Amino acid sequence: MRDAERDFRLAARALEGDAEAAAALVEGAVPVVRGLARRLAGNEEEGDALAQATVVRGLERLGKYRGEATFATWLCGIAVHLQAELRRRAAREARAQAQIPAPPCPPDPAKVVSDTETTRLLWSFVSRLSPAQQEALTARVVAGSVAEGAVSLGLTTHVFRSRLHRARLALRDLLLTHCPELLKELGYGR
Amino acid sequence: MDARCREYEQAVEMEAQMSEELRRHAESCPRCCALSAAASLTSAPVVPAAGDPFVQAMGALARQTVAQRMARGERARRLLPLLIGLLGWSVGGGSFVLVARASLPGPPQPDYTSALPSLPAPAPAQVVAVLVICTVWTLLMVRRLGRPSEMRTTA
Repeated sequence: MRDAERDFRLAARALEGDAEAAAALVEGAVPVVRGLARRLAGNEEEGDALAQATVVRGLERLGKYRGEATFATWLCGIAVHLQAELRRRAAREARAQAQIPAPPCPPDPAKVVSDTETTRLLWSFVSRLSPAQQEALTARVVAGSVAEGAVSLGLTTHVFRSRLHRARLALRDLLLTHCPELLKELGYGR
Repeated sequence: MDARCREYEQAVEMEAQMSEELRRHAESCPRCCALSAAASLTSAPVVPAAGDPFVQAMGALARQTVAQRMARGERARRLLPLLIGLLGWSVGGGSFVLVARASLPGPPQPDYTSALPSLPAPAPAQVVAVLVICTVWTLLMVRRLGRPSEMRTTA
């Protein structure tokens, strides 16, 4: 049985009141969602808070899960939207207080997600893309293939591929603009 | 942007196998290097460390959410027949009292501006009859719309 089908059956049982099915569904998806949330947020604490908020919202909207992608992929879409919402809210609050947002505190080395420098850098730029582009990138990363990523967003493969490519080009431009030196240091452009 | 860059972009877009020539090009072209980096985005799942209760906590949260949702649904199911029963009491009781009063002999010259005060008061037996009929009505409605299991056991 495909993972998405299995998840859909668990979700159906959860909607009928089977608490154990709900727990199994969530526990299976949490490692993936947590991994993505930490990368979107940039550190472990905020990432775990985002993952928790994602699970809460996912459970609230469980009736909307159609089993087209795995539950983890579906939750990752919610995580991207939630993170975008949090950023917008933070920006609004900063504007309302007429203050220039304080630069982010240097991350605690113990709490930084244990990725390679390239991956960490890439994720730090992903959050600057538009929500649709972030969604396409994360869907591709989490789903593991273009076809599954397209299904998870309810798009045709052609449209999804095109959106994904635009997102990658935008990410490339951000890398070229903001850290050409770092790209060289990381071994690119030799 | 030269033809090689376009070819590289196309290969990345189609996620096609890269030829050695294209790979070498990407190593020397900053645009294609950056695109290659962008296409290499990954996100590994977080494997819970020993003693990390996060996954279990999320599982417990899911159980709790489902239990709360079921309790809400049960409350709604319980409330509906009770509301309908209450409506039955009001409508049935009110109609019965009006009919009972109207059927009794009234004063010789009823006051048409206010019908109710001119009617005679119902006898205690009539009140008891109304109560019995309304109770039967309520029980029938509750039974028909499906009582929750715990009400059935405690009733």
